[in-house]
Amino acid sequence: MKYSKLVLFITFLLALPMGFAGSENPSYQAAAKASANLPILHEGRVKPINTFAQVHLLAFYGKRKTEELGATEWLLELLISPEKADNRQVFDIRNAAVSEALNLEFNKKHKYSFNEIWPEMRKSMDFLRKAYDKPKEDRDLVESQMLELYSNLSRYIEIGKSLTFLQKNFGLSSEKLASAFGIKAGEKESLLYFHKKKDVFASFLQQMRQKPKEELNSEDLEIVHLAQGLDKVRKQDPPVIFQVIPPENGSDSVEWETLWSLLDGREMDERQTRYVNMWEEIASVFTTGKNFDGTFEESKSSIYEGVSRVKFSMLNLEVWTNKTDLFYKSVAFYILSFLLIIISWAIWQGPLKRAAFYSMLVGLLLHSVGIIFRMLIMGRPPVTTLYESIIFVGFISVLACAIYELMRKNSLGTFSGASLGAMLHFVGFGYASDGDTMGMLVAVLDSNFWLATHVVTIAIGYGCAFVAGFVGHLYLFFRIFKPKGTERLKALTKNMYNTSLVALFFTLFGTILGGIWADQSWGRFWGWDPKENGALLIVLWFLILMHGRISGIIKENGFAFGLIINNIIVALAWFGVNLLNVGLHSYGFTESIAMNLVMFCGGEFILGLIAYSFARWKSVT
Amino acid sequence: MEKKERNKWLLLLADPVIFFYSCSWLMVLVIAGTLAQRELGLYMAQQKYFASWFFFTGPVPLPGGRITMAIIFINLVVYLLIKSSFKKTPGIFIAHIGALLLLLGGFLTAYFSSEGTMVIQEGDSSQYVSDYHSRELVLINPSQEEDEVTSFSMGWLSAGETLKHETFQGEIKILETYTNCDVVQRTDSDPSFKGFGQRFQARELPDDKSHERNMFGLVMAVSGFGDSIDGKYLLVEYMNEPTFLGAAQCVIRKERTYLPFEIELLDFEKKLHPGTNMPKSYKSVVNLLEDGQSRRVVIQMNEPLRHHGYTFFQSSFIEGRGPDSTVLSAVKNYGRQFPYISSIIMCIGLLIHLIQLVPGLMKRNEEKEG
Repeated sequence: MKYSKLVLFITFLLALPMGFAGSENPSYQAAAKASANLPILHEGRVKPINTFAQVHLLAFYGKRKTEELGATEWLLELLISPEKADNRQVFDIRNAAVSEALNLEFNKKHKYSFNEIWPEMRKSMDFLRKAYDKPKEDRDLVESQMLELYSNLSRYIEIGKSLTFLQKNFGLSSEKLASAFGIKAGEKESLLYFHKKKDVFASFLQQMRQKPKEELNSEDLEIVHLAQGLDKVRKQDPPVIFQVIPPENGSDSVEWETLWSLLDGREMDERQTRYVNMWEEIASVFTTGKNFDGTFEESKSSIYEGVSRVKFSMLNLEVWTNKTDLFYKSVAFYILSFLLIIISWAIWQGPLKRAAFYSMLVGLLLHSVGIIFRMLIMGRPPVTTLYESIIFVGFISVLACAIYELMRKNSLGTFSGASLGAMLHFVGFGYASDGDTMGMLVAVLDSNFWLATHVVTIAIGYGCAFVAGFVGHLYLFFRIFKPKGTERLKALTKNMYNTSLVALFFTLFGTILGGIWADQSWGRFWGWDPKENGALLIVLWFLILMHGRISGIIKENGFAFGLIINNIIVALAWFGVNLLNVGLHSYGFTESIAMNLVMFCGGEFILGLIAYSFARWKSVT
Repeated sequence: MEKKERNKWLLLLADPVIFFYSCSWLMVLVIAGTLAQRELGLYMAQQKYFASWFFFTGPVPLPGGRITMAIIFINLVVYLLIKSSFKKTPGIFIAHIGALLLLLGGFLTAYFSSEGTMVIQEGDSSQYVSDYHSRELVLINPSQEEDEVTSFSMGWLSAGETLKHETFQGEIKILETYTNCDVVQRTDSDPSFKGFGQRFQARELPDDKSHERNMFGLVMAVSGFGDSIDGKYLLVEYMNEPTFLGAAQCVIRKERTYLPFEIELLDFEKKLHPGTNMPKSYKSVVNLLEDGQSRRVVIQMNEPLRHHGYTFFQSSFIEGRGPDSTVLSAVKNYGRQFPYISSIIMCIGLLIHLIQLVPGLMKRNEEKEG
């Protein structure tokens, strides 16, 4: 029992949130903490600033935080002190050909700053234009990566312009003028500050107009100069990405506004002023290091009170989920469990077996909490995108294995569960690097009822199919290496049949539910669409295996081999369909996935074939 | 003796081996049919592999989806009649009954369903469904009361056919037909052509991947209409130059099925996710007009209108300068209840079978621990 306590302790340590591994600058930390959960409308969803920052940092840098800064801190720096941000090496350029094309000095981390890249990028405009004119499939790797980098840089520039009116770049040298505007001579103030002093400007202009031309003095010139400088900034293309101001309560509009759009010359109402003031305060804390006004949090929640689609509890939950990275923790426990079980087999049985099981359970717990939080945040069933299907199938696989382990207690369940859980998590991480994993859905998918029934059932079917496939591997493994353990082989045979039946049940039911959904929304039950065919193939394959077994064509070894092949069919139905690019169902695909898929299928096939032939040869002799 | 002999044959027909091999072949068909969609497009791949009795790979005829399904069906029926036992394995028996119903439903759908589209502009109404795939040749005779329409389905029309009807005197002989073509300047001069065909000729094209993009066309010889009319004519779809045979206008168009009711589009509404171009929902508000009565109905994603055996779905829309148009897809399917019933039956069957297995699992465990 004392070992299980040890495991609990390790668990506790690992499960502790790592906190914001961010900068040591307290003003950065304070500003980031206060603004992380502020809502922003991005890609159709109201999300916390923290997620917005992470998505962009992920696209630029390849990770959700840099070595020096947390995501929100980085974003604030870019918004408020762009001159510092432009020197941060946040652009990831892995391909040496690209960094050579941009005349960049090689650095080990493959990271470059905006100031390093941009001047060179501007020299390659011709190259980019030609690459852009080509059809997508004709571009070579350098061309498509250069274009991607260019679009990232443009995005970066656009974000960087979102709060430029808060930058203190404008001042007056004349004492008299400065005091009229309420500042000291030589002191710099922001565009926003002068924007608020519109009436002072107006009175100066009034005076000037009455004067004859030759009487205009240097002070008048300075005013004109300042006004021109302000206008220059104001008349830039206003950036549209930073939509942080929600529509007024009770209004029909669902569109959000940027802060810039408030400075278009209209009189700001009280509500709008409060948003601007809030950002002004964040900026001043960020740059000067002074503390927040004691009432800041309070006024923050009062500003957003009653705004539709904004709930601070959910925003905080999302920030917390971002911070804790539950799926990363969960995979750590699966790996721990896997190692423990290997050690327990190799040298020391006893308590390690149990420790491995508990470790898997902790992983499963974190896994399920992660899924539940996502559901809460989005108000959706667990599976709506390819990424979510991977996470959910992983969850189901581990759950099935845990139940099996509880029933059998022979540590095979732990072994299968930990390996499947870890593998699927890693596949999922590959997909998560695409951007925001909580995107909005196109119209036809936006139906919670069908997402909850059809998609979840199919995902459960996939999970069970993978478990069955894993048992198939184990069967052949033991057949070859421990052929004398007939008791174990018998148990495994039974497991293969039963898991297949469960998998058949869920894939069949899920496929038919899919047909019924299609009948409801497109008017036909079955349309031979690739995704439908993929699901059908899994069902057919199970049916073939089962009837082959009944008719005596397929024996145990063959059945095990068949289940390994089934893994390939599931993988192809799941990911391969997106390769075909036809049909209504294709919903997301990145090129590297194709390579991984080919490797998985090829590997499984060769492994299965060798194991099967070997097992047959062993059974004969 | 004879009875035994017959039973032997029947037993052979009920053998799961038949299912094993035919299902394996079906799997091959599904894979081939899926991969072929890249080349052929969905409709043609489906026609070739699934909706056919036989298809050709080079010169070799291979069994298509229909015959494979038929074999599985026979296998299943005979199995249920003579081999299966409700008492021994009730779950398995029920699951197979469900499968039988599913196949029956598939058969009904394959032979008796029809689908098409209905396009309505805001403020307008429509009374017919245009078929997706088949075309018709129509003669429209305008008159005071109601236009007199005579239609010939293009499905039957092939070169050499002669068309006659009481609504016109002469006869129409079909000389050439195209399932996809484009129109080019005529290179030779054939004095027997009249109208559009004097200047243009049709060039045959291979069928398009997207079936709805095909442009049908035909060349016909008209006689008995009078000297000024008799001659050869070229007709293609979407022609902007009308062809008249006397008073009657002659057109190729998507085959229409007229409905006993009318649908009027009041409003089409498209919603986007805020700040994006990603559609969140489409919705058509329509009036269903029948026998002088009208009823307001909302058709949207996952919420179709069902009426008189027809089901209308929100499928697409056309936006332009003028009022929006909605595109509804209309389906008439007699087999549509079958998947619902059969899936419930199959799943109950499998569930019963699975539950029966549970005591066995528990028992083994107890034995081991005891």
